[in-house]
Amino acid sequence: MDEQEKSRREDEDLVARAQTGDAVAFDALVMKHSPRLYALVYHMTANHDDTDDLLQDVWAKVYRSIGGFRGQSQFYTWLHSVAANTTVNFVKKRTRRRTLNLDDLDSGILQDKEFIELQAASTPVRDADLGELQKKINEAIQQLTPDHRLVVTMFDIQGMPHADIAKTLRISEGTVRSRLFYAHQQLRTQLAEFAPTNHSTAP
Amino acid sequence: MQKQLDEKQLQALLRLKRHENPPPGYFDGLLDRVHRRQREEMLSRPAWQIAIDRIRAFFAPLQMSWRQAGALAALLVVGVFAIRVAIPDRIAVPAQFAQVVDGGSLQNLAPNITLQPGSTKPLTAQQNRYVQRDPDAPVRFIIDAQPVSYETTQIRF
Repeated sequence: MDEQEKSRREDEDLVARAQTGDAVAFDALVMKHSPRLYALVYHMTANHDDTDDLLQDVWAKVYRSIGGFRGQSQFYTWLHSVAANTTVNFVKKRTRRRTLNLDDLDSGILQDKEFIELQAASTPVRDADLGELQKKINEAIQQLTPDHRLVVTMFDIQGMPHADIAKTLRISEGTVRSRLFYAHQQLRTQLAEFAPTNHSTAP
Repeated sequence: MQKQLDEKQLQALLRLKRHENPPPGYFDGLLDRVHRRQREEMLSRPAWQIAIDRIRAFFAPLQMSWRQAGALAALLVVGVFAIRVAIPDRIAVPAQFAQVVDGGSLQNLAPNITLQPGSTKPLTAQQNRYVQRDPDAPVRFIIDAQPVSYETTQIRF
């Protein structure tokens, strides 16, 4: 049994227990899924405090409605769907406050293979301060519409397959690909300053 | 002309965001905050919403569709209404009974019946033994078939 299947069965068991009023099982679900849920909400808001509030909103909604969850989709998909809708609604309403309140980058970035390759290929990335790079990337993502930002977060940052994103957002895979295409076009323009220079891309 | 990032480079740049993490220990306190939020919600919700949730939770294991649940609810309402109609609040008392209650004589109920006092036969000696009580025997009380306790308690059956 692979890890994904094991996790799915564990979720089914915990959900069934939570539906009968087992608070410990619900707490286990909170602890198991919160890190990934946090990442989804945080990359959408680029604000730690908003993310904390939204995460509690999401769990409050899940707590209220877990009794009605019939298991027609995986709990993970349903949970992400609740989080995505809650966050998109919040971001759409939040028109004025766009202050970035970013989490710190962990030291693992310095050992990240892709980052090392990117630094080798691109002088601007190599020259940029890590904090500055983080701020620029976040600002570029915040320029996207909430729907486009959501697919970028799920696909590019969290590594979800197109099919899972389509199921979670209840849209077709074609729509996911189309949103990603337009979002990437916009991001390429926003982040053009980090494009590799001619001399640094030489084989 | 300025070069642009290709697809691979753009994705590599975006994936750097995976290294943005909440402060250490953030998830340790999350459960407490979620619990506090649940309690706040419970306190602020009106009683009718809690009642609806309770009813929904009660019927949830039955796996009923909305249509079935609606039919069951309608049946319950009809049943309660039928019981209400079948058992009126006050039992109608016929006029002549009402006279007795109001202080009229028993004779009003059946004017053609002659009451003959002393027309019953006296008990035989054999029968009399059952009703006569031995004056030396302890007093007996006949209590209806109902659980009785002499201990003081708040519970009533």
